[in-house]
Amino acid sequence: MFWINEKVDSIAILKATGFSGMDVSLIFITIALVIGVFGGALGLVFGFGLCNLIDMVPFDTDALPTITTYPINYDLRYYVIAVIFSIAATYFAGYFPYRKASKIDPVEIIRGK
Amino acid sequence: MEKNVLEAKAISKFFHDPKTVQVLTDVTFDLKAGEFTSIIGKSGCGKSTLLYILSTMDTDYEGELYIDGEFLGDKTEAHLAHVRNAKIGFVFQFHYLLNEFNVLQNVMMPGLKLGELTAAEIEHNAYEKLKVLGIQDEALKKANQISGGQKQRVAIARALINDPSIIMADEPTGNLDHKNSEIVFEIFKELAEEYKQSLLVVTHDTDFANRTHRIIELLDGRVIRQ
Ligand SMILES: Nc1ncnc2c1ncn2[C@@H]1O[C@H](COP(=O)(O)OP(=O)(O)O)[C@@H](O)[C@H]1O
Ligand SMILES: [Mg+2]
Repeated sequence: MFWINEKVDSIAILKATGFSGMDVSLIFITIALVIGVFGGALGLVFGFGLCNLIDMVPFDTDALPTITTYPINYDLRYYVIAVIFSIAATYFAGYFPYRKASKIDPVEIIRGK
Repeated sequence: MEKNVLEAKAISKFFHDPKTVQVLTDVTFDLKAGEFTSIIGKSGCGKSTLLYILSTMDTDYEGELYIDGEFLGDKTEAHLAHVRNAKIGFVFQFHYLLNEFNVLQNVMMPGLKLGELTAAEIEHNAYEKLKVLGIQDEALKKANQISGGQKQRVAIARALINDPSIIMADEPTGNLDHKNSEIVFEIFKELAEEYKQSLLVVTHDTDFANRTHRIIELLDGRVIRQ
């Protein structure tokens, strides 16, 4: 992820002061998952609001006489799938950067100045 | 007899890009607990390279390294990280604080990682260290809102937070003006003399080195005086 590149100095400091590669990975995975969960929640709220609006749009068709507004499916399953997808996407999008963060050599960073 | 906090036995280091060059040759010395030692030598003679090996960050070397009597040659990355956390305080030339956090949080960080005390106890100790270094008033400022001299003192406070066996510093005054260099020297001297803190400081400031207890001099990667 782009922000790992901005954080190499911080990663070098953490490692020099006793954080292992695993600790550093965990920190970044946690940040990514928090972003994923918040992003997912925000998406749900927006999505639900948008559905409500669309639900009010008049929808007249002779083929379906009982329907007067645009048909919307509020099945909970779709919301669960959306949340899982957003968290999984954040996790996998970050997988290689976490590995990179865990492998950053503090000596190279500290020497490089 | 004082015990050794650090033992380096025949440490050699090669770089391989693209040709193989030997940067350190058979570096051997012991540091006793409470000693304030400086490493001097011309630019490029291998001082930083040696300090990175002694601080366990560079594991690609020949020879043996012991800290507090523990042989470190065959240890995992995670174990070496723990050794750095618990036993070594490192001070760099360019202060290297976490700019995302305030001064107090920076000092607390290695203590939180070690996890032997509660956050409240670590915070209390961090304040004590900042007081010793005369910068307790800056505790709640962001790390990038203080001066260079203050940053270096914060870095020293951070190095002290877990009461390490040894503090290692690479040109800690190299980026400071005379007044701030003097402050840093006085702090190191006080730590050595009042708190019996072992210190190993790389410097090319011979005036600084002459006032330490002991000088180790390197020439082209070999110890020529100790
Ligand atoms: N990553 C590297 N690859 C190859 N040579 C290096 C590398 N890092 C340092 N050196 C060389 O090792 C020698 C010692 O460097 P260093 O330990 O930084 O010296 P000092 O700190 O005493 O100025 C220098 O000649 C330097 O060019
Ligand atoms: Mg150097």
